[in-house]
Amino acid sequence: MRQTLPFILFAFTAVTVGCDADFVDLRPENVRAGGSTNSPMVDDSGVPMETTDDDSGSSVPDPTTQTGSRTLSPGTVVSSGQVVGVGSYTASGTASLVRTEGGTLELQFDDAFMSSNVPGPVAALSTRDVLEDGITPGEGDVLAGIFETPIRGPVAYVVGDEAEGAGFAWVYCNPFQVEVARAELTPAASAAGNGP
Amino acid sequence: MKYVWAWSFLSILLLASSASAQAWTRDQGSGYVNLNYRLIAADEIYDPDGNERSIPDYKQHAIGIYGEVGVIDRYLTLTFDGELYRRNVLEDMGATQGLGDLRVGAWTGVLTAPFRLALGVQLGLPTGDDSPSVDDPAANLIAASLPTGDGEYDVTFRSAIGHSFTAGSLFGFYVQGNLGYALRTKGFTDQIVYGAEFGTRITKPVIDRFLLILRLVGTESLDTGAAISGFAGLGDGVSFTSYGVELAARVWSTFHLSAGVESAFRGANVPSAPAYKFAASYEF
Repeated sequence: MRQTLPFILFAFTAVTVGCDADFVDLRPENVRAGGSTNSPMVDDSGVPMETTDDDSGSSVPDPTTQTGSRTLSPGTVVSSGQVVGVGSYTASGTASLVRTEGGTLELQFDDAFMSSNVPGPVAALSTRDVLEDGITPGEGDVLAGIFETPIRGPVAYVVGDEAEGAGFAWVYCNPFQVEVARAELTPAASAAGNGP
Repeated sequence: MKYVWAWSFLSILLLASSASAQAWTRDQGSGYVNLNYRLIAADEIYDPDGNERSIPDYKQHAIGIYGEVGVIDRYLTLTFDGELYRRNVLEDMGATQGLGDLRVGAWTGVLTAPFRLALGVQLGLPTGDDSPSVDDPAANLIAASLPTGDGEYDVTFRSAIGHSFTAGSLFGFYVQGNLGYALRTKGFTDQIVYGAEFGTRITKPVIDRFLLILRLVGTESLDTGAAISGFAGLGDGVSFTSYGVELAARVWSTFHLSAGVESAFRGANVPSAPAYKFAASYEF
């Protein structure tokens, strides 16, 4: 029993001191300063993505902190499309770009929307059909905001007007740069009935 | 009787450097401690359907411990294992580090002949951090994706079967298999765990210091797709089957050093890369 005691004491001590992990930020300085979520989220000159103002003069929330609204504002559907999983990930529902009655542009996921859950999920818009090397504003990509898990709708993100021509809406695991789900956005004139 | 002693001695020789000789329960007061370091360096992960997907460079360093001590001859052996330190590094993103998850267990020997059969129960403790956090929301997104623990208690019921034997006067062997069912909490789906191990030693002077171990280890999540899939090999929905090889050397008395490599050939929500492992062990 004398030899067992240290073993038991060690186990007890280890269990009771279970602790929070330390985090070390390894993002490049310029990215950290801009508050972006990963290194590719800088423009071609290396300038971090920043909060922008749209044409109406209203401020667009910082996409690196915006967790979205659970209320979908009424407005005019600019474009929309069905959300489908990428590879083995699953997703359903509809994503739409909506010009709200207040004049802001929103990326809206309807109440039927749901997606496979991943760590660090974000909502994004792009003109290209792949995001495999990260969200890159220089490529026309726009970070819309952060998904809360479990990932489901309804949820809406205010985005800048530069996103109006986006061809794709994304569910994206930002830290690990994994495409989870995608909606190909079709202009409203040919996507009647897909809007929220 | 002579054969019983000979086989017992052979079993001790063979198993002294095996990381978890669960089928062979211990006598009162005897014990075994294994301190190990594991490195995984991956640029791909297995997604939920087992397809490999590219990711930024990811490294996982872990210092682990495995210990067992006999309390009652044959009928009660206590075990302790887990990660004393775990560091996840995602290139150009961030790193988390801290205590990992720990596990305590108890085993009882059911049969000693014609083969070893033991039953065990293990309690998984959420001593790691399943969702590291920082004040900066952007950095928090990265931190939360690099857990050091799974955040839940679990109970695993296991059975282990083993047998040691010789082939002529030159080779000694042992084989061991185990099968278990893990009941998980916090809404996580249960898992089936399994493993098989084959060890061999040449019973000649000097060279008998070395033991070669071949290993197959697996975990099968009963997840139906609702899991919050991570990529650090922790959390819900993790499945894999890996094979491995390890070479152990007796350095002095019952002190051993070993080096090995394991690699998953299938998986879900785990890094797709070999795991290199170095260990020092001592039996008393």
